[in-house]
Amino acid sequence: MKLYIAVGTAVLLVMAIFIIVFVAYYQQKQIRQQLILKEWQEKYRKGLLAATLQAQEHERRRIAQDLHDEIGTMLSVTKLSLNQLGRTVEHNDPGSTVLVQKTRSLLDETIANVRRISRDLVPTTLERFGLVSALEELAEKASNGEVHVELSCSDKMPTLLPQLDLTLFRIAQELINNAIKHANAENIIIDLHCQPNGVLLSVIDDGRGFDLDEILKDKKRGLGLRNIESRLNVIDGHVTFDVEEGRGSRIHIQVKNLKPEVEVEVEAV
Amino acid sequence: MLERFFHLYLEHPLELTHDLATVIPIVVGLFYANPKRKEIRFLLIYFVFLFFRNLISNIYATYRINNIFLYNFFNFIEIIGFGLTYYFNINKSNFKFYILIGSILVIIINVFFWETNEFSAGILTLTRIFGLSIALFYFVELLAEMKVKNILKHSLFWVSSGIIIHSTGTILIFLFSKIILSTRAAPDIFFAYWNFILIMYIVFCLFVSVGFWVSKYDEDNYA
Ligand SMILES: Nc1ncnc2c1ncn2[C@@H]1O[C@H](COP(=O)(O)OP(=O)(O)O)[C@@H](O)[C@H]1O
Ligand SMILES: [Mg+2]
Repeated sequence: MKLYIAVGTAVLLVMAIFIIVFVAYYQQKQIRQQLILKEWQEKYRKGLLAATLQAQEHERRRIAQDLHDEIGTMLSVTKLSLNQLGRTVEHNDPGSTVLVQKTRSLLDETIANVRRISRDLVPTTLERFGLVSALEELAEKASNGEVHVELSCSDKMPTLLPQLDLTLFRIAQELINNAIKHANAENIIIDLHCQPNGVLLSVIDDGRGFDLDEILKDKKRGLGLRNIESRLNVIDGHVTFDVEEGRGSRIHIQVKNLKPEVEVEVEAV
Repeated sequence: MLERFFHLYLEHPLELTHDLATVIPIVVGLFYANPKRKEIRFLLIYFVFLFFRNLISNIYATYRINNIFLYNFFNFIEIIGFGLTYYFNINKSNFKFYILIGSILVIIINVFFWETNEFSAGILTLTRIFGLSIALFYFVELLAEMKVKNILKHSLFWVSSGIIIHSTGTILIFLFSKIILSTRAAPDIFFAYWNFILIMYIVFCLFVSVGFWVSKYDEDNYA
């Protein structure tokens, strides 16, 4: 009897140790698998985001092309006909000449607008002359009597991957728009700096600032700021909001100029 | 009296080791554990009680007074201590409910098994089964919910392992305590099994000490 108790205890103990080891081993295995799954999901999400952004750019390009080629052409043809009409009218009904002239100037304005919109939709300067020129153009266009936008950048900018160029440009566009629209700023500085294996883009304004947490709390607001984050997510970039109510905002974008995981081809035009 | 006290220890060195082993989790728990965690606090209190039980039972032994009722009584504290520890660390509401009902039920049944002069096989065995069950419940929850990243840095994993080893190691001995731990049992048999119980308790103390030690990682360890 006493021996049975000893043997039984030994058997139970072996079972107990087996259970403990099994739980420890199995749990670690489960966690490892979960980690792999999470990584995979993250990758998939990034790929999806990249594809969405790419589709957006494609769509813009298509709209720009349609605007330019179809509407633009139609407008030019219309202008030609109007000119002919004008000449006929001058002979027969001099009273209507003013009306024709007015229509012509309206048409001219429309043509200019279509051209501007189609140019703004596709960052042609960016594709032809690179990020620095595109930002210069952006600063120039945004400057007027009330705001002064200035670009400062280090002399030797490394050539960036086209995808980085486009992302940085779109982000700069959004940030400058924000500074003009919301901040009531007088001076805006775009600062482009190269860093060891990366680039730092800062947009600094002297406006009224804002409370980032409050804006991100509201799901419907801050779409522009959220877009910046998702764009950066695709290229493993990083944004730092150095903002506060009552003083100018400083927003820094950091990207690595390395080959990223997710490939997005941007076709040159 | 002190002389007799020391004599007792010299006669049973394992008893001394066992009493010292109770101090390890208290020291680790007081100075190295994360005091914010509830399971640490309940277990620490449990070990302080254990320390005093040992002290009192040794004093009784020195005066040759029967101290076995202390061992029986301590099982009630054990049920409450373990019950509270796990009650506050299990998320599944039905497990929580089982633990609550189980603790109350086991305490009530144990009252009917009460014995003053002999080890109560009923109390001791039921308490082991109770400890074993909640530790296994906790393992099931650990596997089902994957709530920790590194199980080796999770304090309740070590505590549960300690409880499981201690319970499985002693449950049969306590179940047949009428034969091997009674006053009528042959002294060599009694001491062989009694020493084994002490060893199991030392192992338990060591496991809990490790659990207390890793409790500082617990906060970052939840997945
Ligand atoms: N530079 C800034 N200065 C002050 N407020 C800003 C600035 N940038 C953003 N904000 C605030 O953050 C809000 C969210 O901006 P954004 O996400 O770009 O959305 P939107 O420009 O469409 O309003 C704005 O409504 C504005 O109140
Ligand atoms: Mg905006």
